[in-house]
Amino acid sequence: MEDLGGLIKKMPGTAFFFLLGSVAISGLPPLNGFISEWLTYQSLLQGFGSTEKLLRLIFPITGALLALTAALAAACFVKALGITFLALPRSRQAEQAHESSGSMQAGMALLALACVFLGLFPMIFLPMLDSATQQLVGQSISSQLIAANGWLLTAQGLEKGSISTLGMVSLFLVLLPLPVALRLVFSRQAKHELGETWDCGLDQLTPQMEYTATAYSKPLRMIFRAIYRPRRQVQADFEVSRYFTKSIRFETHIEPTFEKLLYRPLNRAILRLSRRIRWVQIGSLNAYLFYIFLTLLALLLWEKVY
Amino acid sequence: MKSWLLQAALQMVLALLLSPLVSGFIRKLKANLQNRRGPGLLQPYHDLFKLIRKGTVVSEHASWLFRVTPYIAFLAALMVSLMIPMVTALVPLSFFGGVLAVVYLLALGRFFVALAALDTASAFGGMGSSREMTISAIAEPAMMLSIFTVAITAGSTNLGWMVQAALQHQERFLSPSHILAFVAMFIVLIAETGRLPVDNPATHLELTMIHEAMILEYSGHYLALIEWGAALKQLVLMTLLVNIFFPIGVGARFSLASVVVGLAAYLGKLFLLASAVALVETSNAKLRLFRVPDFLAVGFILAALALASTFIF
Repeated sequence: MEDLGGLIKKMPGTAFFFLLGSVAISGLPPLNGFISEWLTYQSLLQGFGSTEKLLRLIFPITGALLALTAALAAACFVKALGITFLALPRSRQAEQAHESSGSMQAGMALLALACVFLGLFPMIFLPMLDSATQQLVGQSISSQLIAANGWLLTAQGLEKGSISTLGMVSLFLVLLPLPVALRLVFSRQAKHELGETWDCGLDQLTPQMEYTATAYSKPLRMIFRAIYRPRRQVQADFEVSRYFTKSIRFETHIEPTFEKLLYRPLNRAILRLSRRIRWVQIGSLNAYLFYIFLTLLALLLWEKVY
Repeated sequence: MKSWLLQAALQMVLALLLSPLVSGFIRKLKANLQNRRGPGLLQPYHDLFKLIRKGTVVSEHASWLFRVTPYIAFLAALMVSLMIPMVTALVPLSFFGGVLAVVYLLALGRFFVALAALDTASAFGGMGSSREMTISAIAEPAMMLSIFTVAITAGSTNLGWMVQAALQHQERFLSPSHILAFVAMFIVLIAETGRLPVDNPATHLELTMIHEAMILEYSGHYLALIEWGAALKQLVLMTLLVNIFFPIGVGARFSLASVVVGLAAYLGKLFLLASAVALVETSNAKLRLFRVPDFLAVGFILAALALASTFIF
């Protein structure tokens, strides 16, 4: 990512689909991520009302954590999109990038379209969940979530809260003429020109002066340093005085805490377990037939007992 | 239907006209508290009008994203101002989305402004964008928790219903959970509107600015839209604070009498809160960036206490 940049001009299609995906995954309206998040918040609120025990405090706390996750996702994707696609290219390769082929773009377009469609028309897709909830809790949820006119999502009744992404989009379109008219009426004669970005009076703005991805996420790394334990090492070679640096070496490292404490032990345990039971696979057809026979026997016994 | 449209139009005009005044009021009061005369109350209107008429200079490195962002930020804030109870509890577009939609539409505006900040290849933009997204990420849990506290007491996320529920139980106004959640939300307001001690709206000092660093490359009517949008966002958050927590005087019906009473009460509460913001801004120094999480953690803990105290009291 540190070598990319400026791709929005070279790869407009890819950049646009990436933007749609980023808005969706950050849970922002009017796309599908927002609908999911809204439904989750509403179920958390309803969950709070379902019990009287102190344990129900867990619902709002979960909601706060979900808000944190969504905001962190937004920060992450502003960084991913901004550093990769916007501003100046940071390497020759990025400068010479070209748009990917039509079929590759079509794949992204399909997914982006799904985000838009699920976001704007959730009432078409919610009934599909009914068969799942029917099995789990014996109720179909879509009838409780979709208001009578079919364009609103509600949390079991309008007075509990409702949402309409379609309404938001139409409102946006209705209001859009206002700022456009302001521009047309008041600044028609004014000059609109291209100019340089403010570079503090230097000769020219170079890609080295841009914010990097590492720098972008530094505040978050510092705030959550208890988890990431960032370490850095700066080594500068200099002659005469340390203000005249000849070369500089910079290294930074973060601790993969979750990987170390959660995923790796889990991974290792699964691998160990699978090694243990590997002797079952001895590669002989007779043995496998014997397993099938044993399974059949066990199932028949099960049927008999229960 | 006709009165609904009229109400929506009136609320929009009120929000558009009132939001610069609130900024101007805070600025004026701050200046007076610092023994300065300060610019007049109407200065933000002059600024906006001047900016709208001016030409624009757009960076040669910027893409189309830079040009559409002001519209998205402005319209997101304007849309939100139609979804909140201002003068009466009958919110024009409350069915389009309740308090959660308000929070997430404002986040949408911020998402695009933070992207546009990176678009000009300026290091300042990157810095502001990085800081803004960080601070908003840590402000979000406190905000959501205090919203949950109010939504749970009201049994709804629909803002109109929340106000009506609060009006029916006026004894709750001074309950500990209510007050704690209010203070938590006030801390979030300070952080979200970029006010001292989190961000200094009056500075263009390179190393300390957050919001100003993001919009440094904007000019002309783009800047006007961004500034107006920021003023609208501030008005929306302040309105939520005064009307959800203390809906005294909010009209229950859309009639001339209730609108007049509601408007007077609303303006009174709003400028009282604006005075509190100005007071906080004058009496506090800006926090170091890495002390801001501590400040917001206080907000989160207050919101958690507010939630816990709904059980005790």
